[in-house]
Amino acid sequence: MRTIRSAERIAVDAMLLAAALLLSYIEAVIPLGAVIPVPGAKLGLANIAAVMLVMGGRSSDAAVVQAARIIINGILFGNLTSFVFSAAGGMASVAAIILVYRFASDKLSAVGLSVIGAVIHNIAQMAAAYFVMGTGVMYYLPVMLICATASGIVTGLLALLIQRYLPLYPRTAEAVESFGGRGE
Amino acid sequence: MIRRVTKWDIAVVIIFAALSLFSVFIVYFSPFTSDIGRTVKVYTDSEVFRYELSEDSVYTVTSNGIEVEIKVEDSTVRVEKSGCPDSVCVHTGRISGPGSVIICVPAHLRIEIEGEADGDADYTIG
Repeated sequence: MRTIRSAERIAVDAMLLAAALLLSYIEAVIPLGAVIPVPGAKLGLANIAAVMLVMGGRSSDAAVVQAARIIINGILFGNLTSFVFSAAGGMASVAAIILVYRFASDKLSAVGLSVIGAVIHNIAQMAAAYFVMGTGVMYYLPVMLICATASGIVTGLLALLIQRYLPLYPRTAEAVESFGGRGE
Repeated sequence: MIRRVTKWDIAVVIIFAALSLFSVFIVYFSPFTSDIGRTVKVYTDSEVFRYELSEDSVYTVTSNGIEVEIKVEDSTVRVEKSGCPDSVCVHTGRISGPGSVIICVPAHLRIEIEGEADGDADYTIG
């Protein structure tokens, strides 16, 4: 992979962070729970940013962008409870994606990674909820698993689509050319 | 970087779909775990007590100066004895479903089986 200059890296990370924040906000304003009868269900569109960064070989950037998104989102729109849940789910999810990609980068596309990320996100949230609320939450696990798998497929396909038309990392020669730029 | 859906992606989806269905069966249909994690909540003026619905036991709660004996048995809850004057709570009998309640007005006591019947989220997470 070509070396990416740090300015470009910062710009891409910041852009993905902004996009992820916006997606988080949209999902908070228009809850999916209004459409399907599962309270609190979300697509997790913000995870597209993490998946794209990890698949671009920028694992550490993915973790930083995810952490920054959760902190900023928590300060702007959340409370302590929602922050704890987002942090547990978000960081576990990005860690899982990084780990799986390290071993299966030649096997899985964004779809597989997104599904794994979504499922781990929900399991970590359940674990956090278990500590906050007690055993009652386990009753909700099957519903969350089904929703996570489905939303993982949707966000994964969206990530695939975005990767096709907006190739950020790695900057291949063809990608640079298709945007009218010149290779490094 | 793989830019198309692979058979491994499909395998991951199938594995988690199977796990989901398996967990649906375990949590909702298995007779052993049908009341797993369900909690009996007892509200008094000042406190909330939580008891396991799956654990057979008798609890004595004193609320507003009235002693109430709550029996949890076979995943049902009833008030066995109450020091209140009208004993409406005792006559309510057994409750079992999530969201069902027994109320004792003189004792300022509400007994509730936790569950989704009330339809409201406890927390909004995000």
